[in-house]
Amino acid sequence: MNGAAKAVLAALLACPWPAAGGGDETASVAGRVLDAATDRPLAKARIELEEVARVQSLEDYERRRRYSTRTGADGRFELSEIPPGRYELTASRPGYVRQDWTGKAVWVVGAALTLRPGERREKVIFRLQRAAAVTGRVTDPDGEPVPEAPVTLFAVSWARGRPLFLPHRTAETDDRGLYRLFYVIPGRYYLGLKVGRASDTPSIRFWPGTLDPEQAEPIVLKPGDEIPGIDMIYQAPPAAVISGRVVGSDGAPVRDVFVGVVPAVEGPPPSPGFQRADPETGEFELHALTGPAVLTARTFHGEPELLGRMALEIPEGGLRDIVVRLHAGAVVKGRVEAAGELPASLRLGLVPTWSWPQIYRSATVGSDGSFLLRDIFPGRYYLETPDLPKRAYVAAVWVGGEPLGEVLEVGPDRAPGELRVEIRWDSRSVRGVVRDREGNPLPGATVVALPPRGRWRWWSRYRSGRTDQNGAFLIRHVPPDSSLVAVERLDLDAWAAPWFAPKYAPYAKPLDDPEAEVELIALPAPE
Amino acid sequence: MAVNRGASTNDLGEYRLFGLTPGRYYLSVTHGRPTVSFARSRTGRETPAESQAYPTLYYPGVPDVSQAAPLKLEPGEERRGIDFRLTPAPAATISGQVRGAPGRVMVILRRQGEPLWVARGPGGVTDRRTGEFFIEGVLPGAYVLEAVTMREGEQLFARLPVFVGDDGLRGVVLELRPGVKVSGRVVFDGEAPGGALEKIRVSLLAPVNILFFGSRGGRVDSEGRFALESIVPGRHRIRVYGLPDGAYLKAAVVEGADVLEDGLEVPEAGLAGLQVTIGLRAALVTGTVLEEDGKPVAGATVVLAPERRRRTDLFRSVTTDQYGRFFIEGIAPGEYQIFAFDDVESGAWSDPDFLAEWEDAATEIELEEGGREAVELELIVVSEGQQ
Repeated sequence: MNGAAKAVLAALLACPWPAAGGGDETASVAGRVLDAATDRPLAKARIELEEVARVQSLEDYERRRRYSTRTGADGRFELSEIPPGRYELTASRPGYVRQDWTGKAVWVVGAALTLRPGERREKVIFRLQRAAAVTGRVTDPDGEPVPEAPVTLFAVSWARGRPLFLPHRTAETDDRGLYRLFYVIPGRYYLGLKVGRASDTPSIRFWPGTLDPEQAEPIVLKPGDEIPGIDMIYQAPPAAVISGRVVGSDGAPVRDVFVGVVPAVEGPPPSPGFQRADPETGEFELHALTGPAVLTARTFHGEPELLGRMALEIPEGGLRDIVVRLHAGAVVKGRVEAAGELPASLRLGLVPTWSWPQIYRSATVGSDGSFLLRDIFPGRYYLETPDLPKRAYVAAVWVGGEPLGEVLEVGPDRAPGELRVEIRWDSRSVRGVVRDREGNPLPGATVVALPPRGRWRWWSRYRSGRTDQNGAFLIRHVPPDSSLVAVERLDLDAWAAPWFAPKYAPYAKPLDDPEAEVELIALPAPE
Repeated sequence: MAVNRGASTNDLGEYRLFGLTPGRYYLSVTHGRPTVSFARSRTGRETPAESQAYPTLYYPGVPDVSQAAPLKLEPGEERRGIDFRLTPAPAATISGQVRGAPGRVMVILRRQGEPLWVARGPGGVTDRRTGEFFIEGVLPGAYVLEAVTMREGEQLFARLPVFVGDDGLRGVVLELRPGVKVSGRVVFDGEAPGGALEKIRVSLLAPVNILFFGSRGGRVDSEGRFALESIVPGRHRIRVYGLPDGAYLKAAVVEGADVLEDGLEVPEAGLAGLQVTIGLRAALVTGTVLEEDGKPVAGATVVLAPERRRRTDLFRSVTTDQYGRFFIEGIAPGEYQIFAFDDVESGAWSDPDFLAEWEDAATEIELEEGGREAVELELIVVSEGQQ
C-alpha cells in the first residue's frame, strides 16, 4: 500500500484522541525482535511508534508524533521519553512481515497501544515471520515471453456476504516474461493477470487460467515460502457481440438509455463502459465476454430514473434480439422508532445484494422518525443505518407489519409495505478470555459477536475484536441478543462471508449475564 | 544526458534493465534519498543506527560521478553481474525556516558541484503557517539549499550554500527575495529590414538544476532595448527568437566579455548593458549522404557540431530526403564538424563523448559570413556497433 493510500485509510480509521502531553511523566517501550521460525534475535529491525491522532488534513497526518528505532545485534530496542498517548506500535524488517505489538500482520493499521504517564512497558516481544514470494512466467499462446504484463496477487476479504478482492502486491513481467511478487504477507491469495484492454470486456485472468474467480485456485503461502512456476498464458478473453433493444415497461422504445454488460462472476469490481443505445429505436450492440453475464440498461438523467437488469448466457456466436425492459423504481416509506432517544441526523440506506451496478440509495430520517426512499429498483436489499451511533443498533424491522427476514425484497410491480425500524441503545461491552483446547490463553484470536439466527445478513449487527497477549478481549457496543464465537485465526473480515455464521453459529455462546467475563474456547480457523 | 531507464531491485536485491537501445550508459544506484517536508517526522530520541542513508553509487561502484565509467552495450547484449555494494553512512537533519512570503514554499536540496544531469535533488514544501521545513536523511557534505515561490506573478527565490556536518544543521534561514533585472540592447550587424527589431525576443535559459519559474519581459523595442525581470541569479544561457530570415546570434557581450560560450553569470544585483549582436548574413550548408558504394542514403541523421562544443545553441541536426540530400540554413559562421549517422537516438549527439568517438569520420568545414558550402558525406554506421 502506498503512502497516500495509507494516509487516507489512517484518516478514515483513526479515532479522535486528545493530544498527549501536559504531564512531565513520559513513557517508554522496550523489548526484542525475534525470528518467529528460529527465535533468534533479529538485528536491523525497525520499530515504529506512531500516534493514533485525529487526522483531518495532510498536515495533521504529517504532524502525528512518530518515533522509531532499530534493533541491535541482540534484537533489543528501546524507545524512551515518549509523551503518554495512544499509539500504533509495529516492527518491520526487509524480508519479514510488518507486525503490530499484538503479533498480527499489519495490512493497514495495527492495534492501538495506550501509554500512560510514567509507564515503562518492557519485554514487548515481536516474533517476525518471513515474508513469502511467488514467481512465474507469462507467455503468449505461442510460448513467447510477454514483457510488462501486469500480475497482481489478490487477497479476499468479505463485505456484506460478498468477496472483496484486495490487491496485495503487483508486479510486471520483464523482457523474459518473468515476474516476481515478493514481501507477501503469508496467507491465501489469488493471482490475476490483466489481459486485453477493451473497456467493455473486464478481463482479469486468474491462475491457473480462468476468467471466473470462483474457478481460480488459491495460492497459499506460509512464512518464508517461495512458490515458483505460477505461469500464465496471456490471451485475450473470448468475446462476442450481443445486440437488442431497450423498451419501457409498456414495450415502447425509450430515449437516452445506456447499456452495459459484465460477466456474472464474483470478482474484482468490473468497470464496464456504458454505451448509449440508439436514441430513436433503443437498439444497442455491445462486445461482451462469453459465459454468464448481467446486462444492465439505465437512464441516468431521466425523471424518474429507469433501470433494467437481465441475466444472460452469452454463447460464442453472441446473442441477437435481446429485449431489455426498463422499470421505474418503487418508493419505500417508513419510520424509525427508538427505545429512548432518536439519534440525531440519522440516515437510512438500501444496499443492493447484487454486485453490479451498485445503486445505493439513502434518505435522511426526519425528526419525527419518518423517511422516504425513491427510485428503489426491483431486487433484494440490505438495510443500513450509516450514521447510527456505535452504541445503538437496529433491534428489529417490520415490513407492512411482518418481521423482516434476512433482506428486503422489492418487486417490479409493487412497493413494499411500510417499514418500521426499531433502534435500541442497550448495547454493552463484553470482556472475556479465549483459550485454546489445552486451556491456555490464546493471543491473536478473533472474537465475533453474531446476530441471532434469521438475521445473519444484518451486517451492521456484527462486532468483532481480537485477543491481546494474555488472551483477553474487549468488544464494545455488542447488541444483547448477540452470541459470541472465538476463532483461532481469522484473516481480514472473513466474518462477513456468507458461510461464516452458518458454520460457526452452532458453537456460539449466548450473552447471558451482562457482568460476567466470557470464557471461550477457540474454534479452528476456516479452511 | 538524461535518465534513460530505471528499475527497482527485488527482495533478493536483483535488478534488470531491459529494452535498452545499444549505446553508452552510466549506471547509478540510490536508496533512501533525503526527504524534505514541512513537519519533522520523528521527534523522539533515536538510536544512532536509525539516522542512516545510503550514498549514491555510480558504476563501477564509485561515489563520485566524475569517476563513473560508461557501460557500452552492443545490440542484443545481455550484461550480467553489474553488482553494487551499498554501505549505509550516518545521516543528519537540516531544519530551518523560509521567510519573506506567506503560505507554502518549495524547498530543494542539491549537492554542490554535481553535474546538471544528476543535481536535481529532493524537494518538498514548507509549513503553511510557520515557513518551517525539515530535511531528513542528509549525508554530510556541501549542498545548496534553494527555495522558490510565485507571489502575484513575481518570482521569489532564496539560495544558500550550506555545509552539513555530522550533527546536521538547525535554524537555517532562507530569506526570499524577488528575482533581479537583466537589461541591454540588440543591434544588427548591418542593414536590417524595417520593423525587424520589434519582432525579436531575448530570453534566458536557466540550467536545469536551478528552480526557475520563468522570466518576464524580453521584448525588444524599436531602439533595440530590452529588459528581463524576475531572473534568479546564476549562470544562464542566452537565446534569441524571432530573427529575420538568414540572421543569426553573432555575439552577446557584457563589459567587453563574450557570454555565449560560458553563459551569462547574472549577479545578485542583476545587470544592465548586455549587448546582443545579430548577424544578417548566416551561412548555409547543402549536401548528400552516400554509402560506401556511392548510393545515396535516405533518412540519415546529419549533425552539424560547432568546434566550440559548449555552444550548444549552434548544434543542428536534419534528416536526409529520399535522394540522400540535406539542407541547413541560418548557421553562424565558424568552424564545424559534420557527421552523417545511419541510426542515432535523438539527442545522442549532444553527448560530447559520443561525438568524440566518431570524430575521425566527421567532415571539417569552415563557414564564412554568408558562405555557402556543398559537401558529400560518407555514412557513419553506428547501429552495427564499433568500427
